[in-house]
Amino acid sequence: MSNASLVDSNASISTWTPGRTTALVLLLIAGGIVIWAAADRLLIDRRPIVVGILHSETGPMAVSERSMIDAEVLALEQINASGGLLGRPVRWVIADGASDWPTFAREADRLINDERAEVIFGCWTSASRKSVLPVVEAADHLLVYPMAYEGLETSPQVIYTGAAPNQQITPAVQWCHATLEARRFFLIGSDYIWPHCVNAIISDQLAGLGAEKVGEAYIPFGSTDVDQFVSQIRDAKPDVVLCSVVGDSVLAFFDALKDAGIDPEEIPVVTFALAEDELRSIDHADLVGHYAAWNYFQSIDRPENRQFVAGFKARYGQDRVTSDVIAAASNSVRLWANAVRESGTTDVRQVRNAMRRQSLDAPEGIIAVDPETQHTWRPVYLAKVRADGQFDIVWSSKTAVRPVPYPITRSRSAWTVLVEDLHRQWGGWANTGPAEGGQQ
Amino acid sequence: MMAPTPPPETLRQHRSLAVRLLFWFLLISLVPCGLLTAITTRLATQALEETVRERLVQIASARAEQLEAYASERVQDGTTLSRAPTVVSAVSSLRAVAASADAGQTPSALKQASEAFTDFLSYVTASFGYRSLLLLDADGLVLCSIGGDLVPGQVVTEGTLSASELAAGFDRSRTLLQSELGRFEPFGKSGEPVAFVTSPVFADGMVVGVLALGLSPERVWQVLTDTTGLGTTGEFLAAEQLRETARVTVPLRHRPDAAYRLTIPLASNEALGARLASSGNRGYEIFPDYRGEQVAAAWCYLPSYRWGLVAKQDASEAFALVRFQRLVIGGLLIGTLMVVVLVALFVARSISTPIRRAVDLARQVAAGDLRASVTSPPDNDQ
Repeated sequence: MSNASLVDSNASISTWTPGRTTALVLLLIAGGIVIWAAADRLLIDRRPIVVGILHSETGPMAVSERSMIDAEVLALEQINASGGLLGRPVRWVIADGASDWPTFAREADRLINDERAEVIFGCWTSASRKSVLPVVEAADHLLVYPMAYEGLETSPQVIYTGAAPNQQITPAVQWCHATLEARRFFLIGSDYIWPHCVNAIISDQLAGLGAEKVGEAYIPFGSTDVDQFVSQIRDAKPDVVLCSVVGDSVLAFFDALKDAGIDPEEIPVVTFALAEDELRSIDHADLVGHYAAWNYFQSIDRPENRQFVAGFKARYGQDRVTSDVIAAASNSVRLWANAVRESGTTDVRQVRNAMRRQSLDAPEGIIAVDPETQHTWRPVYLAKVRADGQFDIVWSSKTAVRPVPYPITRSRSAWTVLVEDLHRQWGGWANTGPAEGGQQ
Repeated sequence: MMAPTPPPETLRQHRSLAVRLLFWFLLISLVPCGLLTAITTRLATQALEETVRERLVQIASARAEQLEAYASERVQDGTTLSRAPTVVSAVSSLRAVAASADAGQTPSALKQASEAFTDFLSYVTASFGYRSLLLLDADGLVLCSIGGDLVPGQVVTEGTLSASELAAGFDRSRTLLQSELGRFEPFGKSGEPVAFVTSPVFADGMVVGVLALGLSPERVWQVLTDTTGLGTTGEFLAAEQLRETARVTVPLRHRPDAAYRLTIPLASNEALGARLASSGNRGYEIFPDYRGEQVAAAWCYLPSYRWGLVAKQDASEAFALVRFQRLVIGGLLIGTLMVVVLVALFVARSISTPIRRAVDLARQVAAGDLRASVTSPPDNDQ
């Protein structure tokens, strides 16, 4: 440098080289840009969203309800695998209702107040739902109930994703009347709230169709002493038996039917409580040729269903099967997740409102939540039991059916009176009889 | 402002100093400025795009809710009216007339007998807002007809009528014992779309007939042609799946005659919204529509109608604000740049000139020329 000798300090001023300062400044700028680009991620709430699952893991209902838990867990796992909700992972707490109705109420309270769950997916039996209902209503919370039931109920705090009576019972009766040309119907059920309401609805429909009810009988909850009921049926000579028997009694009932020489070709039974999942765990030879009415069967031939079945088997084993409640439980989670995404929050009230307008291309067909009743539009299927424990679909409604929780054959208040009278008479949601002190 | 002509290397130093100052000025002012602009533009764009999405989703949901409420009110109309004593007694007495009339005489006998009920039935048909009302017996025989869709004596389960939505609704109501709103389908001679609300009529718990109310889609169309909130290019598109196509079921802003005439192949890209909506999905996307125009669209499903509903707006209009904002910010940035460069140039010069002079002076003194003196501009620091 020729001028370095003149003024020493001038040298550094006059040379035009981006020195360390420049590098530092550029580094700072680059750092700023990186931080800014990452800010989106840094600012997001990453705490997990807590979801409550409330079913019986123990007790007589566990056999059925465990599959519901499986379906809900799988759907939640799939949500987490695809990045969670609102950028947050979902964490589920499984509470055990233990097939005991007061336990259900206590556990619901724990999920809401201690675990701070944003939603509860839960219940199978109507008795458990009726027990959980006051807890959920008092907390102004959200219960998603994925089970076909008797209707005659609406609650602003509950989204019903299973069938209302007109989406299962009524079409089945109609099909028996029109296709099987049945005119004499025998109604048999377990002795608790669901079968009693179902049979009241069926009785109205039979009167409307001009068909005859030749008998109505109730097997005590859980009893396997069914011979007297089978002989009642044999004596009444019905064209068809409509069966809302649940739990251990079902197997005994079908066993006894076969022993009594009642052939499905002569007196078919249409059941509202047995699906693929129950047939898996029992010897179903006695059931072949009888019918079931649901909103979903594993044999539904739709790409959405094939994918659903494959996903379930891949997660839980090739010997597992899907059924109506499994589909409904899975749909429940998906509908809720979409509602959370749409409302952009986990606030219970906002999510509940968003749920009222959800729809889904579900495995069984298009389903949609009805904003007025908070029940779900679902297609209806009637199917015949095959030797392999699967079902052959013999009739379908093709499109989703509007849910009608209160059948129009009676006024809403008349239905409410019916339910309340039964409750008062039994002192609970099941007829335990004066001698037994068992579960309500 | 006097100075002897500086030697060439001094001139280079001067320039280099000025350029260097200029560089720093620009770095200090423009980099934060640019960064801030980029950040605010990105945030504002995100916010605007989110607003467009939220607005369309909200508008689609609100309309869907309105239409579902309308449908469920219609179903309730059917239930309520089918319980009216006049309706029940009309069905009962007209059934008796049909049973006793001679073959061939049934239509005229029914027409005559139904006159007793015409006043009441015409009144409720009009006041409930329906175009027609039919009373059918349990076998589908038309007992009484208000509004002229059909004539007494016709049977809805026979002939071409048996394939109609009316026959399907009749069958569902009679057997499932519930009120139903059927699909809108071109019906009768006029070919105008009509949907039937069907309800079972009970006498002593028995189904004795079915009440059918003919509904025009005008009210539904009115709701969907009200494009408030969708600007000058937005519209609602409702479509149902018909085999491999999506059939548009409402008049469109850009195609007023589209209802029941325009079909879009389901496989095509243009049907994205209609396809997803009519297969029960909800969502939001930007895609080219049936006109090939890029649109922002939110869609949802209407279970009562089996329609998919799409609320859409041309992207050019929906995102006009985003474009405008980019333009303004870009302009501002260029303007700022020009001003900053000019000012920086001036400031750099005004700083570097006195320094250069001091250097010159030092050099003169060093060369032994002690005559040199400092003249500083009066407005300088001291």
